[in-house]
Amino acid sequence: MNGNVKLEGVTKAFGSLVAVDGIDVDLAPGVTGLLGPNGAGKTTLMRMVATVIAADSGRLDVLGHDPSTGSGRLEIRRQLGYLPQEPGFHRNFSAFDFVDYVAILKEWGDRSARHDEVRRVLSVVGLESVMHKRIGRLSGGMRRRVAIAQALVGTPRLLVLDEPTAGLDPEQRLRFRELLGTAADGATVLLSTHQTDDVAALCNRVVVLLAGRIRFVGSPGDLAQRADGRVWTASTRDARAEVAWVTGDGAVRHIGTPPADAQLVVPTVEDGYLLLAREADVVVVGPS
Amino acid sequence: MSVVTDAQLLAAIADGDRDALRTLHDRHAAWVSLRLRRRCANTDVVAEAVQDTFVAVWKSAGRWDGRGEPAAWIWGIAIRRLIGVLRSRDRWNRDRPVDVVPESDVVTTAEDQVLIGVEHGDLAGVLMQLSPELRAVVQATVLDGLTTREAARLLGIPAGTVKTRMMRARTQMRGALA
Amino acid sequence: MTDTRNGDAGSGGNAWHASEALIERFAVDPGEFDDAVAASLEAHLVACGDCRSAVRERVGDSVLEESWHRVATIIDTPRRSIGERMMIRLGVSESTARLVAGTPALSLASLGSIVVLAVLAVSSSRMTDSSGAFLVMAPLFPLVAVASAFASVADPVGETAVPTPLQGAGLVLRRAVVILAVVFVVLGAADLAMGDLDAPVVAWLLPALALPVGALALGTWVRAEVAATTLGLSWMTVVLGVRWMAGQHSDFADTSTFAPPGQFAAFIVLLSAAAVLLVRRDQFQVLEGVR
Repeated sequence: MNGNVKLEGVTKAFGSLVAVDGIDVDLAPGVTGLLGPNGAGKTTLMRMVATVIAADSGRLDVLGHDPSTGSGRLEIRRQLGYLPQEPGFHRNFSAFDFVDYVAILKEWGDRSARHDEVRRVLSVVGLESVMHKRIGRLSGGMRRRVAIAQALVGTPRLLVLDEPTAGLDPEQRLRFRELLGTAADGATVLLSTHQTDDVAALCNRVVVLLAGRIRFVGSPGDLAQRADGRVWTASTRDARAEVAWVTGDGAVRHIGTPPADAQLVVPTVEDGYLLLAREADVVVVGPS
Repeated sequence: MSVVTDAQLLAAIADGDRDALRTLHDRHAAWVSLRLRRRCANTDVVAEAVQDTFVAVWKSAGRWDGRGEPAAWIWGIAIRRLIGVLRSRDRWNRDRPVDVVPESDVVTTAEDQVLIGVEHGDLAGVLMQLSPELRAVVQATVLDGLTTREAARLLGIPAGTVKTRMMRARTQMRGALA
Repeated sequence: MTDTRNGDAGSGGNAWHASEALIERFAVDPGEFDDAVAASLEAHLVACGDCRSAVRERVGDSVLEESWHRVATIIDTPRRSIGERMMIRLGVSESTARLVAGTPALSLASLGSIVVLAVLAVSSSRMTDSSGAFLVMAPLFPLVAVASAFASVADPVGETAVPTPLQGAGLVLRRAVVILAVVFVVLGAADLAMGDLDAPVVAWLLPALALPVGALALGTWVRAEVAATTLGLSWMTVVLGVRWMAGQHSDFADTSTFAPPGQFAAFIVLLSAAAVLLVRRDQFQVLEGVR
């Protein structure tokens, strides 16, 4: 048994739209960030890994099991925590009811052990106090944390988290980083985001997905490094740059082929990502 | 540091805040439990009544109308839960159930105001002049805020007896306080 | 009174506070108090938060911790619905009862609409003075009920429920059985309400079993909605076709659908569907069910 997730030539289309186009990737334990704009195929890829949908073609090996067979799916699901992009919430359920229900689906039959586990994961995400409130009355950030809590039930070996930080305020994002550091210790985590600072802070590996294809696999540092020597700042906008934007301190940050006298700066993960997207001719959501 | 009032805690509990219940429990479980022990020597029964009390507070904090002292409201639940627990252990006595949550003005009867209003030394003196039977009835109806029927159940005497004893006690106390 | 001290402490009208010695005695052995002292202390405690916390300080943390644990255990246990309690009484495990009770198809609203439809079926039969309408409609009830039990929208936690070990045939079948039980109780009552209408009223029973089991069997190939629609349309086609062959004005209740040949056919469908279900139960299309 290994903690690896391996994809070979995996393709998935919805009608004429090819969402994931022949992907090969091998993920080891640790936190892997899946970075890409909306519609790049992140969610489709994650749902295939999480056994929610089946691939049209190609091979998947998840924790040593084949998700295309019933028994393989069962084994994967027993070790999986999954956060969907849009988790459904029953309007009458409290946070406790919700996590309790998922815990039953995860084969926690014994009631008192299950309730202890439900309390544990809800306190991990800091929701112990409001766990009996109806989900409909919780804030968006709290609901996201309820959804994260259910993924942590049973301390799974594989966590597939689709945009876990969406809807969290900066303080909550910080707390999420902390909890992922402890809760995901030794596990294989695949999370998607379009926040490059999440990737820099959370992940030891980043996979950039653009238009259904993998454009980069490596460490966040490697991704930043790709833009080395190609990022500079100036007081006025340089038309020769691929991308340019005004930063908070008023300077204009440029990515592209620098002029000879350019004032080069140390590139960030975001710079690397933007450059990559530019090279692939994909329009990504502009830098924040 | 208790900046949060009991009334605010009850509002938070009505909103489903579990921590608020925990704080309220920490503030009130001790004295409620000791006070119940004066009415029932069986510590198991008292522990069960205290448990039922805070479960009832959890479920019906929204029914507290925001007037009066939360402690009095909690006590009103506690004494009724004690009666409930005692009755459920007595399998031959199957009456109608006691309403667990009192109206919040039950404990602020006129007599109660009078008694709490007077200097406490005087009250003690007045109570001491009553016979133990009358004193028990005053305690159950005035201090515990029970109805005649509830007091009768707690003391194990007919409701009519509670009424007549209360009338006698009132006359004697009025004389003593005058 | 010796055990209380008069003082100016407390600005909110509390002219005095209970002495430490008094509180100590109250906390250690409340039963030993004389009534008068206790009565004034009790009345004071209701009004004075400071003295309440003084009492609380005398009581050990472990005692309060245990007391809180008793309360927490109860409030942290979700309240069971009536349906859940009934299932548990019938021997269903606590966790299964919770899963099944969470099925939106078993909500009061859904059950209400089943009853309303049953009343409609019965009254239209009564108006035409023939059991025909009821016989044709009755088998569709369990079909729709079962379809809702394994449609992808059936789960109260949505997509989160899909990649879980319990998701699959077991859960679908448990839900289906419970929903069918409820529907058949309603249909049974409706059947009794048909009362004196002459026809072989109970002839709806076999088709009403064959259709939902057939839908479950078909659901191992296609999605729930597709399976249920296919079988529903097939049923209507058969019923109308048989009547057309019998002549324009014949009563549904008199056609061979509800006579021995039709009953035999329904029985065969039921048996083969059950066999398919047994063999292919791992192939439920919940995997692909979401979007």
